[in-house]
Amino acid sequence: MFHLEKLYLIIKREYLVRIRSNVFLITTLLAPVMMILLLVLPLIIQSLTADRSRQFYVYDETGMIADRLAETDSQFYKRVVTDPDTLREQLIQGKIEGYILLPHEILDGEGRAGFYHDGSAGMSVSNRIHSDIRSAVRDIRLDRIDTPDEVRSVIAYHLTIENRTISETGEEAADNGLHAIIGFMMGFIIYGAMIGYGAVIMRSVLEEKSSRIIEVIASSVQPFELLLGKVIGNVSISHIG
Amino acid sequence: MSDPIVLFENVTKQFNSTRAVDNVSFEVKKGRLLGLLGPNGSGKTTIIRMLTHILIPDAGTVRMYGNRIGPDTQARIGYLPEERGLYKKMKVGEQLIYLCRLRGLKHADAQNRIRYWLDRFEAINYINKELGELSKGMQQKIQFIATIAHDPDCLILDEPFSGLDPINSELLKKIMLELKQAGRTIFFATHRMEHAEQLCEDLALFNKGKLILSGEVAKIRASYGNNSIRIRFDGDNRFLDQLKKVRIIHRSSHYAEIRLLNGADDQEVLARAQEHARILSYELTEPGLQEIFIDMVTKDT
Repeated sequence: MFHLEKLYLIIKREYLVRIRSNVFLITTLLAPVMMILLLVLPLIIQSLTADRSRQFYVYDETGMIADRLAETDSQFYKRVVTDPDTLREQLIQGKIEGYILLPHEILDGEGRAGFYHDGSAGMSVSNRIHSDIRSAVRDIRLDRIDTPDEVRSVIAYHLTIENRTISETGEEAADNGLHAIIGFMMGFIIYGAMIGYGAVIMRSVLEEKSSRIIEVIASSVQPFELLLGKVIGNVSISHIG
Repeated sequence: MSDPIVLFENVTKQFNSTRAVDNVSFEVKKGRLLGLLGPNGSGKTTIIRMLTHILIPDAGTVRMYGNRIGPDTQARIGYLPEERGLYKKMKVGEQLIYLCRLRGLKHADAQNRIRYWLDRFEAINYINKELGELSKGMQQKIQFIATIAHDPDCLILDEPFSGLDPINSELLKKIMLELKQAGRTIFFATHRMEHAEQLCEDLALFNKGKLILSGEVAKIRASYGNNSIRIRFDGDNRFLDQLKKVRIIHRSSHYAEIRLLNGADDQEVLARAQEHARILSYELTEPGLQEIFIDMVTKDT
């Protein structure tokens, strides 16, 4: 036996109680602000750290790579002849931010370059160093075997791809990845809402249990009606509220 | 007498290994005030929860007006649980209307009834206050109104007097008797024998899940005979210790209730008392509910 009238009353109460509560008001106002902060804050922090000028010492056994690196950014790479043990000592003492070791066999396609730092260098810094060294080594090796310009241009060729969407009406637009981002965010919101509203309903049940009103309510409605009323009442806030 | 409105037939309820209610049968007739008595853990609350369809019996049936207990009978019951509770954050008026409407009342009817009862309990000024702001006694009154406002045929009151001052207790007693006069059937669960004594016509005494005594209070008391003494005195109360073949039910410095055991002479007690103290009053009477309660429960144990 199922009483729609009772269900409606429970839904209405749950809805009104939730909508009138201060928590609801605050979260409704703050949620968009928090969302924006969540997206913008990392960017701000990133731009703040990027501004800092860094310098890494380069100890180059080949005597060729360091100069090329310095050509790309003489502030970032500084060629030194100090031996690695001293560099290590300086790093430990905090005098330098980091150093790069380039062994001579690297030009033969063997060995490995080393990048040692105090931990302040992030992904972007180590990616940059990696790619700079790779191009320098590649260019030197190409020079050594007198590679013709045609081959160099093949190697340097950078493929570009045009990514466009065509809608049902035939309109064309560049796909700038916005759809993927929106899709990801919506998924995230649904996930968050499921957990959030689950918690709200759980708290509402808990309140009735701890305030003991459950015994009064349970002596007038079926538990199923009560729970269904709670679920609908609370979830409808997100749609109508 | 009219047909029973509530009927328990061989009802049993088990929680894990504990048999909370063990093969209990009794009936309650319309317009009677039944005392549900028993020590803690004797099964009173389980009986009440089965009557309100919060719990379902493992065996046996509970009937109301001949129908099995279910969602339809719930609306005819008003239940005041021992552990009180209402929504703390809701306004008194809204809350009462909500509870009345859950029991099937129309909005306008609910409003009229609630106004009437708030008025009677001198609480009408609190109608727009949140429950959490009220004093404990006032919350208690609101809870009682929540129990009776939908005008149920059958009231279940579990310790309704706890937390009330003497004036409000009297008001509550008056209203309980009024409701009984109007033909409502009342279940009254309590540990306070003096309240049971004043109000109950019938009693059902439980111990360890079993019904060990039931029937009309007057008949039960009469069946015990005039073998209880109530004595009020001024002076040394040590004579009480010297009495033989008696059981002292209650004693204080100026008052005692004494139960005569087989063969004891009440005049002997009076004579002993007079030797040691000045007698202010002396009464040979039927035993009170407290005595019956202790007698039955200790015998059963």
